[in-house]
Amino acid sequence: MLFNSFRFLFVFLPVVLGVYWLTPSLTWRKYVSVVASYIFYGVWSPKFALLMLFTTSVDFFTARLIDDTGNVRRRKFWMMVSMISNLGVLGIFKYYNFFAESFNAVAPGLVPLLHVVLPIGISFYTFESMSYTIDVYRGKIPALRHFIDYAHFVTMFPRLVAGPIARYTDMASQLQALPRWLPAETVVEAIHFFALGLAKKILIADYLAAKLVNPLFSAPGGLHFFSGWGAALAYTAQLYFDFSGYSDMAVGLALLLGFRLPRNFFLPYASRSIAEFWRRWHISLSTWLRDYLYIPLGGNRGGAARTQLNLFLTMLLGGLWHGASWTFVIWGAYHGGALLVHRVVSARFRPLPRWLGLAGTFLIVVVGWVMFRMPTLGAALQVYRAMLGLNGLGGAWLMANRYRLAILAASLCLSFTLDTYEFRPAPRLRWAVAYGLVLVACLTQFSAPSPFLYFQF
Amino acid sequence: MLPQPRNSTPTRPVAAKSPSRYVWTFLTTILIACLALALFNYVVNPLNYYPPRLVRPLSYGDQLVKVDLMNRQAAGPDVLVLGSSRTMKLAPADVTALNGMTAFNGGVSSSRPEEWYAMLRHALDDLHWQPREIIVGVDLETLFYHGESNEDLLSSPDLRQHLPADMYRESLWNRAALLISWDQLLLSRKALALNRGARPPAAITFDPDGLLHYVGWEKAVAEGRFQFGVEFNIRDYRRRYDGLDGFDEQRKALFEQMLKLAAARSIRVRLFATTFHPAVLAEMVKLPAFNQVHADAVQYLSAAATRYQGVTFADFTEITSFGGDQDNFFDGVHIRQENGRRQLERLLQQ
Repeated sequence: MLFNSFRFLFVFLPVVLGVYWLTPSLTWRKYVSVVASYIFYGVWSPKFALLMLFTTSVDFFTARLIDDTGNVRRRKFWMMVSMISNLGVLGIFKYYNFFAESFNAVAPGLVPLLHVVLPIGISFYTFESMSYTIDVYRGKIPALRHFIDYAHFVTMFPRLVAGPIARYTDMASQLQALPRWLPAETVVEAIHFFALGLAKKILIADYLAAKLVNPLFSAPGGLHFFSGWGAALAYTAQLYFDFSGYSDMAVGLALLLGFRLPRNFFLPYASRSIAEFWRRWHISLSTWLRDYLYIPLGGNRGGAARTQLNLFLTMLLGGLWHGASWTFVIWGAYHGGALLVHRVVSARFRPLPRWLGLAGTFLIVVVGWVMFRMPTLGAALQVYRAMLGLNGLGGAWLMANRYRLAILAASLCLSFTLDTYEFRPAPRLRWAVAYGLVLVACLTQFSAPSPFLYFQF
Repeated sequence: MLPQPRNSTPTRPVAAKSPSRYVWTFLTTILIACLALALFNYVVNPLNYYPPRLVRPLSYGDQLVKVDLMNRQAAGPDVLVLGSSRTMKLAPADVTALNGMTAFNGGVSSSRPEEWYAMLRHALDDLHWQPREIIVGVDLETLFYHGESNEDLLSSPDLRQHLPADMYRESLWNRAALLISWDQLLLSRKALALNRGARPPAAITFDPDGLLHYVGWEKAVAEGRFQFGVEFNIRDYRRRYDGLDGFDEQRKALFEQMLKLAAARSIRVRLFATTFHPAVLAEMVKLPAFNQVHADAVQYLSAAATRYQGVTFADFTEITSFGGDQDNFFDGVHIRQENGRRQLERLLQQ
């Protein structure tokens, strides 16, 4: 079920919120949340809801077994069971065909392909589950004793399919002390986050996708210098508004259930270095990778060369997390390489002037998004060719698309300045009317709802 | 790498003077704006989807026009032609000239098996026609299409009553959603503007027997200034075939119900696969999905022709199969009447 659909907004959400807050028992309220989340997910695919139930059950029981024993080898064994279960499911559904096709490209017919569909949100809830068992293994948190408590944490529908990737350590106190009633002040905050998130997605990201990104990238061979850059910049804005819009909506919806989710974006395009960019973009993923991959690999404890390698490997696997395709691997390696260069340069030279750091970082990011967006390496190279001017300038395209480009320029300006956490107008009634009208403007686009870009990961 | 504080949602609390009033104002704004928008679109009704008929709609949709023409027929024809816009140039007069039987062309744009079935049911059950034959031009990809039905079909009370409830229920929801859509608002505005001034000439018209006329194209042909092109069709049909993987079971079931219904009433059924201009076909055969769909559909329709009594099938995908002329096309898929006549000759010989 999409947040940007009538069924969700006018049927599912009011019913769930009504039942949830009218349920007097806090324990039963958890059941309401879990059932609602399974319905939310099961509407898309009931069998994959069962898959989620399976992985949730495995992690719940293995975490208890880890917590119940003081034997180090047994703790490690049950932790491995949990990892194999999570990574196995992820491997089969997300990566098996990718590796099979890669082998078959070298030796045709060597590995049989599976006819499987990627379960939506699997990368997100698998990472949340893994962080829980790892934290129990590390002794940072005790294992939960009741399955409903754990299912409540993993399946919470606002962040189920595209994050933010919450950790149990972030949510524990909230999950253990559910509020009895929803204060109106919290609803005001929720309106702010949800309405702005929806507007980012519907009014900006979808517009850019329909008018610039999709038409231009569908025929990369026909791009010229200006249209190539136009497409790359439009996708840069689209991806930010699509994903940060989703995250804002998730934050708003979670507030309506009485929870505060971790922040996922902080004006990433206003970063002055690529390292800063990764502290501001998809924060919940980058911190997850830091704490559960980079640091276990050795972090920066093994000398400069080892640190560089760990950093590069983390980014490479971060790229692969986004999708089973060589373009994502290359994109991850590209960012890994950029981080290495930044690390070396920043250790030896003075920082760049602010404007230069900002422009350089933005350029690196925009160029990387092309690889992220295109389905094949060949198609990405076609776009790069156009962006280098090797297909000519194509100046006529600029004039023919001047209004769209004006909207793109405005969108990019907003991506540098509009932070949903900082932009908090005084809650006067005229703003309530404004938010209401913004939401209605979004509703007028609901007749053909479009999925979020990060659902595919 | 990546050190940062893990901020949680709100960095500073919002202190509303009256948060409850704020929330109610927000909800009331949404309610009022949605109701106003819906009421406006409902009353103007630009696509004729809703009961009010206060403003002349922009388009009735072929389905509604054809049903209207069917309802006006004094007597039922001997031959009912069904199919998409690619069948709409099969002239009833040519049928009469070839075998002496009266005919009505019930072809409608983008039609699929549910259209053919609903139109046949409307003809037989509601209008009590007793046709001796039906001719169905099958766009093969429609048997594989998994999407929703045409809104024009579902907005026709005469036709939708014959469809399975699940097809129709979805449409009710869609039409309610359209009431507050931006597109519908623009169409309403356009409908009102056109009602104030002179309407532009229609792009297509229909004879009382259902034969289609492309007003602009036919005028251009008559004046010798017609510009032929197939690029749009190649793009369009590539898109239509992209991702097709297996029959749509509900559409297949409706198609078979149509054949069963015809067999039960002793109506002869002449099925044919609609044709492509050679330039379009040359591009389409490069697509594995096209070749797969074509092979599967032809096998299925040939089998249906042997399974049901009184059913024949002809594959007219290539123009050579019916002696067609590549110069008698309006574009890459829409034939002119001369090619329609040749198709009828070949069909009626079977």
